[in-house]
Amino acid sequence: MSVAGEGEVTHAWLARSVDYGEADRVVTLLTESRGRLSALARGARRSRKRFGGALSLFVEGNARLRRGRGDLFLLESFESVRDLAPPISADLIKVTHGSYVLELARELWPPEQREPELYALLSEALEVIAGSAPSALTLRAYELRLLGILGFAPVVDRCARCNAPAFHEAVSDVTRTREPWAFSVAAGGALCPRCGPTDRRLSAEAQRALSVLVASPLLAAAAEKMNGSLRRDLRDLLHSVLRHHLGKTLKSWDFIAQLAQA
Amino acid sequence: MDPLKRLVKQLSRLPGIGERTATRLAFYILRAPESYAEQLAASIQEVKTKLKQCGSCAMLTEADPCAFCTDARRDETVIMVVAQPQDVLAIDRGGGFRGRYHVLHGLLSPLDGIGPNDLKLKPLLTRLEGVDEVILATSPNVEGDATALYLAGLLKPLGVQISRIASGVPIGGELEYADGVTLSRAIEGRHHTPRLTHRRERRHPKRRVPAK
Ligand SMILES: [Zn+2]
Ligand SMILES: [Zn+2]
Repeated sequence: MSVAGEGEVTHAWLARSVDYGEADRVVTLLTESRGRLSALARGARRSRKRFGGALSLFVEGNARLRRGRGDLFLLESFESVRDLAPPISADLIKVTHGSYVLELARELWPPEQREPELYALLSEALEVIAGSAPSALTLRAYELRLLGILGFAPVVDRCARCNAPAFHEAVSDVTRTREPWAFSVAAGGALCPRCGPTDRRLSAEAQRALSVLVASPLLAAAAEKMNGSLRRDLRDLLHSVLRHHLGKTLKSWDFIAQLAQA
Repeated sequence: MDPLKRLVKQLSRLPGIGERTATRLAFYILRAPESYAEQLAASIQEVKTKLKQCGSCAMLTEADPCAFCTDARRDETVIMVVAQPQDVLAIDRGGGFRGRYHVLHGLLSPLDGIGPNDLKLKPLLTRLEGVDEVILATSPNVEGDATALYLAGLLKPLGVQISRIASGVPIGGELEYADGVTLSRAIEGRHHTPRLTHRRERRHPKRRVPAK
């Protein structure tokens, strides 16, 4: 699709907005047809005419884009096609979860790389967050599937080094009898007792949980029964994988931690 | 670099000022009486050296406590919480509000890493004695709503009435750009938040995005 002349229309979510000049904004958009990009939204802070209230977090819009100078696009209009802002912004936890899924996609999405599957996953995540009680397991399933789409999925159901299968028996038997497995970010997943050990132990429950979540629709993930310490293990494990690929920690992690303290 | 070019360059760093406007301003200053240039320079310096945050409401002020906090004609039982000092000026221009203010110096924004610890919250919590109502006048966007929810959760257990102005200001817009009349009307028509509980969905009654 050409962006010269007429401009191009694509579905998009807003993932960052920085004030620019007196009345403008520079926005980061996660778009269906053109991936992640930055665009100048002229008059976005003042004029209702062009953007209305649509150019806002958690509003999916039809973005009309035109190539600007350098890497910056010009955002000509942004019309709401799906407004999740009211249900999400009515709940502080939903705001943090929604912001997190946007931030993670924004940070891992290579610039201007078309990723329809990733766009669909992001939309699914925001829809689930807007429409159901907030659950950290939705975020874990989102993280696993996002990593998978980008080709970074950790190997969980077998040994990342020698391919030995992780589960022969029901999980209850495994927990009782088996030797400890490990998890290695550098190796790209689980390590069997022969190929391990590393600094990080991987419990059979965590390993089973990961293999369930990786294949789970986001809405179903929230319904999984997992206790608090297992949830924390999964979070720490996945965040260590994400940190490895991001090369940094995410702002939303700090924010969620600050809220938990308050 | 010659002085004129240097001035143009510095002026063009101001928000909304391009090089052409900067050149026009520079020539205006050049032609104006010398006293004007001196006053302008002094005023610019003064805002940097003389203004500090009021110890009570965190508004920018020369004297601490500020004029809003010491004005005896203002109602001390109502506090309006805003994000930025310029919001105080915008609301006060309308003249519809005669209570006190509190400036947060920001809004919660998970995407920008701005959490509760980055806002001026503690001074607000210490001045609630004798306060009946706190009006949350943050912009009607996600950050403004999130901040209002957070504050409501924090203030509710302390037994103050909490209300929110969200109407009147364009959705996704900013208080700074709303005119005085609109703001006064919004303050008059504020709704007391029936329940700003977390973990529960609540359709924001005043919030609508026009579908074109
Ligand atoms: Zn192995
Ligand atoms: Zn004051």
